[in-house]
Amino acid sequence: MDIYINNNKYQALDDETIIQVADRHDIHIPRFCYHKRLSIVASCRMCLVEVEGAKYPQPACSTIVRDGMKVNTVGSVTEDAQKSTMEFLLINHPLDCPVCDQAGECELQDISLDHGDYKSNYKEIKRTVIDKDIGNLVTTEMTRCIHCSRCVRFGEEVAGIKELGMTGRGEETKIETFVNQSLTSELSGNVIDLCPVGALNNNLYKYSARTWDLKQISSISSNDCLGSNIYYHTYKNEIKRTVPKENEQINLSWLADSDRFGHEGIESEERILSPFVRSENKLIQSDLETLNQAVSQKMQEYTSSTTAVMSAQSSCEEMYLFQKILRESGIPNIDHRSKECDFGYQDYYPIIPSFDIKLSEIEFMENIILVNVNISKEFPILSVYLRNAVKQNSTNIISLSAYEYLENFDISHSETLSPKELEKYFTTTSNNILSNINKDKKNLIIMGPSTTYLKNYTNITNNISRYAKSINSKLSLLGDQCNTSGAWAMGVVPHRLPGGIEIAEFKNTAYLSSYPKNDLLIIYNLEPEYDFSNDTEIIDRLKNSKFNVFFSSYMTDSINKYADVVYPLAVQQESHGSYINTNKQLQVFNQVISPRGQSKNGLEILLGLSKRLGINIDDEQISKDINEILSKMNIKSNYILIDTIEMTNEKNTLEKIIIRSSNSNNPTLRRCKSLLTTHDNDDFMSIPNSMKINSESKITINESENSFKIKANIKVHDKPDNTILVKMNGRYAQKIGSYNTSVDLS
Amino acid sequence: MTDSKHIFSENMSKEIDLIRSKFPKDKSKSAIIESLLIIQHDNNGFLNDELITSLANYLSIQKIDVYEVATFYSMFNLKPIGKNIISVCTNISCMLRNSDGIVSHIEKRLKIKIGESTKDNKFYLKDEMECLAACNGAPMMQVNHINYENLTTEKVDKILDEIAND
Amino acid sequence: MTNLCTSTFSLKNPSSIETYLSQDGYSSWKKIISGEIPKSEVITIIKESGLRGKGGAGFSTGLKWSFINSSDQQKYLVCNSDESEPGTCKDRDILRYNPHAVIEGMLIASYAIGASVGYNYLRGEFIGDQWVVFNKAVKEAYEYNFIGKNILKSNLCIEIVPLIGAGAYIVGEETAMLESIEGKRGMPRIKPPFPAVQGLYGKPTIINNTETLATVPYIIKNGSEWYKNLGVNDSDGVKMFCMSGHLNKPSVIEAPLGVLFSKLLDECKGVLDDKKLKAVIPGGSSVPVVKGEDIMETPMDYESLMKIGTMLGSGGIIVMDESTCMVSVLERISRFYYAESCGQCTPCREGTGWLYKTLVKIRSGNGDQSDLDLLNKVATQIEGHCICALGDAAAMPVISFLKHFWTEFEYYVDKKQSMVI
Repeated sequence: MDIYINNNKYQALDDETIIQVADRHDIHIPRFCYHKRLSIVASCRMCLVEVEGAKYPQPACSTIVRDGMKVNTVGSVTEDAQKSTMEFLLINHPLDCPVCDQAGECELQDISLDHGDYKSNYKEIKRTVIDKDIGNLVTTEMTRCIHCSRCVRFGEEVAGIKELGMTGRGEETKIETFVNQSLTSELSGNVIDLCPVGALNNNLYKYSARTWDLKQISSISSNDCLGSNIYYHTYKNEIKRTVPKENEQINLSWLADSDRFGHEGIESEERILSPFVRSENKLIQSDLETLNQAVSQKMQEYTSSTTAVMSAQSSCEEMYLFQKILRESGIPNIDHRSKECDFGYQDYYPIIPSFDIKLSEIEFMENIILVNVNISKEFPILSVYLRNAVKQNSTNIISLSAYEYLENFDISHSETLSPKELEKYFTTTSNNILSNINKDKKNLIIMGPSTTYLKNYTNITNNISRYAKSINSKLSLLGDQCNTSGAWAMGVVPHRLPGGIEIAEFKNTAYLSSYPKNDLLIIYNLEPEYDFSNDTEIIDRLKNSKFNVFFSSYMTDSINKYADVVYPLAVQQESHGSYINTNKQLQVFNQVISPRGQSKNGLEILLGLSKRLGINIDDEQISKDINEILSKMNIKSNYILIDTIEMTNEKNTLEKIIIRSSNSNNPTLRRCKSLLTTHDNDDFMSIPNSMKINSESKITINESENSFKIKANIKVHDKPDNTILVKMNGRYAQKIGSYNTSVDLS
Repeated sequence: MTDSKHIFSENMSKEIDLIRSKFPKDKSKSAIIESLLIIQHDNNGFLNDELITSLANYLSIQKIDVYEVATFYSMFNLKPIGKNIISVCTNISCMLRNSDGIVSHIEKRLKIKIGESTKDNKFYLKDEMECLAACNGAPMMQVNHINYENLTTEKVDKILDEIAND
Repeated sequence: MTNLCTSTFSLKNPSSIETYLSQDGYSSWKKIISGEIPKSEVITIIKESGLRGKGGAGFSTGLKWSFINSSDQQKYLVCNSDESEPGTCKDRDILRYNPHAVIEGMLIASYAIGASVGYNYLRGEFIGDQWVVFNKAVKEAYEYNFIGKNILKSNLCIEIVPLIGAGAYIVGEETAMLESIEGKRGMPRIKPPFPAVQGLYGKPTIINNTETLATVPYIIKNGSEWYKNLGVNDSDGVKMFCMSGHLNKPSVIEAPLGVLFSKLLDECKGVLDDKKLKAVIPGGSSVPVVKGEDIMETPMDYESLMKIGTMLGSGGIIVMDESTCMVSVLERISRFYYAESCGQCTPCREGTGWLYKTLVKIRSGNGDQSDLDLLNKVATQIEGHCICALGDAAAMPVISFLKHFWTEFEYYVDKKQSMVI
């Protein structure tokens, strides 16, 4: 149909609102409560426009177009109405723009300038509202609130957990949480962007810069494998805040809190600001040349007994060069799977593990089975898609995990399963809920990263793949790190070269296989205390090896104790490079700030080392190589089908598993205090009911030869049997031992 | 997994269940208002955080959902109040028939201002904003939700005496 | 003067089902259930009778029913017993003296629109009296199997469920009531979609006022022509008028639409102490005030009142004698709308407070001429700019009071005291 806006003809669709048509044609209509991704409430009355024939001006956000409708966004009717609303909004809004963080990007300020009057007739006393404490991430200045309710609707509709609400009534209406409870949603920071005024503020940014001084640099999330698009806002070489960069394929208009507040750790006091070498049992400052000389010498000396483990948070460029340096030096034992302990699957693994379908296709799925994953906590952006699927198409979602996770979407059936039960679950489907899944439907299985931590991962993944195949299901393999897909593609595994080319002679090996004979350990951006499947084991190896090389951004006790050389690694925001996200997209990120101290982009460090080793390559060549590798790659399905396999024995031992906490999943996040104290402050250990342990008990976990005393809130559970679940957040955790082992309790 | 902790007696739980049954199965929020009324009645006329949390848990809904409602409707009290609630209608029809005189008489008699409770906690004089829909009996008041109409100061004294002596 | 809704009021045990049955109660329902009056005809009868909503808006009831989304899904009927428009006190009497007429009306309406559940939402302040009576009446009707499963062996199932509010004027707005039944804050919804398409829990819903529904059984019993003819001139049927304020005998009177105001005044034995009539608000406090002399010989119907610049509204007629200070009255009215604004939309949330604060300023002797202009300006800025009618309800009295009593307001800001003292 056609409608007329300011006497110009525009095409409009049935059921469209005036504002949608206007927005599409860049016709400006002021608004506060309207947001394209939230429900329409038409309550701010800022978008009132003249509709010819109507007695009063109509809200453009909620008025559906009619064929031939004549709308005027200019002219006295519209302008008077908008001026009226503006005057009402300002009577109780403080005139504190000079001290307000929102100033300069404030919708109220902008619209007031364009549509308001220069003076107000209001002479009474303005309303003041006492601020609320809603956590360490979002701070409030509620006197500034204009009650647009975007934040409330966001909680209900997008984040899926209503935490902010509207209380009181009339002029006394307030936005608050129930008795100052902290926001728990992993998407909570989005209310800062949604707030059109300075009522909900970013605590990390508060009073630290003025918006007009900020420089905006685009980047990619380094915190999960979805690869959310980001803008960093910097001032004087410091990241002041992070905001979403709209991407319709990934993060829409949103950001997970880990991405938004995840830059806090960069300025940690533990940053390594210069190269170090060990001298007389102490790390002393040195220079890269000295380090390169020592490392190249040790690489030549211990070629056959070297183990190199690299974080999958590294860029593709770092990964490609890292494996090239090592392989060209004759060192085959390279891996990124530091948290895994069962590698039997590796020859059958896809070249690039991926999500298998586009995120936008999720909503069309009829059945989704979640395996060992807490989507809302671990992949908040993904939860938006799943929630939408349930809301729009009543998608049936089943959760099979070691713990009864809270999700922000409806789960139709959930089961708590131990790793052994999980393995069996998919081979005995006639006895369980899976018998209801019809293979003619659109089915999707999503495997969480913590599945890879399990001792029987090979069997689980094989059984799930066979089942997936039998029901024509897509299989999504979510990566543990932002570039897990990249690590597989770039050959940071012992058995495959870049592009997934098999190396025949190294079948069935992994980084653990050289134990105990590793004389040289190279650890790249991984912290022994937190990033390995078994921390005591890796620390033992560090003790027993002859030379330990660390590439790290932060100092930890074990690095300080056992490193022989430490390369000062710049963090992701100080580097440039690319990641392959779970949808197999190669996304480039820019350097946002310059590296702290003498720290350096990993690629630059590695180029220096390669030069020393006589490997002739530069970054241009690396990019070329990567593009060629990716273009040649033959990507098949995600099924991991293994020919012969033995089922795991059903032993009645007590098993300990770690619940993955995504907010401490990499070294920088581990140092984001605000994030951890707001979202991950619920350390607990959950023990089977049958153990008869009360909440006062002090628990010691005996794990192989070690015993750990653990202090945490004790919970009890009925299921899964014979399993102890430990949730401890990396940074603040005490030693927690292995991710998945057999233990005794005392 | 939701928190199901609540502090309701068996009787109260039954009453809430009964209210719950008035609405479709998946619409437990609908039970908030009437439940809050009986919970408040059972708790000396006011609600607190614990009761709000309990109801949210009992109905498996968010606490803020209950709190939003508790702060919206004027019959909910979030602070302790006197035992007997007096609401004098002061809206236009009553105002024309001297309801303001009735209010000041009660204020004087009970030695409190409108919106306050007496020291002995016997009476709470609510600042009633609404018209209580007894305009043809103006001036009127409700004491514990019972209407007393065509008031005079003498009549008010008599009513309050009777309640005070109860 | 004419007894439909009020027909049981003067009887012994007026609220009991026996009393109602003795008045031929539930005969309409039985006729419908037995098929004597086919389902398709019910809406036609109501339409033809000219019955209009008696809560305030005066929309044709039959037409409203015919808007119901007829697709095969759950539908609801809601009876609006949240009587709270200042000056209105009719539904409270129907609920306590003739509750079975409400129930029968709800049953007929539910049946006509295809609803299996009818909720009656009573305002919270009715908890001590009407709530008890109405619940008892519903119980009785269940016992007689007029409500419930397999009604009078007809295979028909309709549940009637009493609900109670907790104090909020705005819940009387029909979509705010739906929100309240859903257990939320009573904030009006944007329309469209109208409740007949998407109402309670998103399902097609019809909301009618208590008096409207209580009238329905009488229309079905006696026919549409009969009801139509009860009225005067072009105004069909009857209305309950709540006469309050400065009257010798304030009363609720059921009378034909189009009855002269002077006649109603006579029924109330004239203005209190035979003072001079100064002003009348004829339809609850939100409609424009008119001068006494302008309404005296006006027929009380929709069109005639419109002609003198006001509305019939809820039928809450507030009578003010010559001793009334119009500034004080307007201040009280403004205070009410300020206190009862739900707070969701800007003009009402911010504007009602502005109006009230300005009136307080004037009343306390701190106002000046510019404040009177300001009142007019703010009221105009609110009017027509809000989601629901509360904004208009707050604006209309201000505009009309200033229009009709400008000199009195001027006197007040000038002399810092009321003209009538």
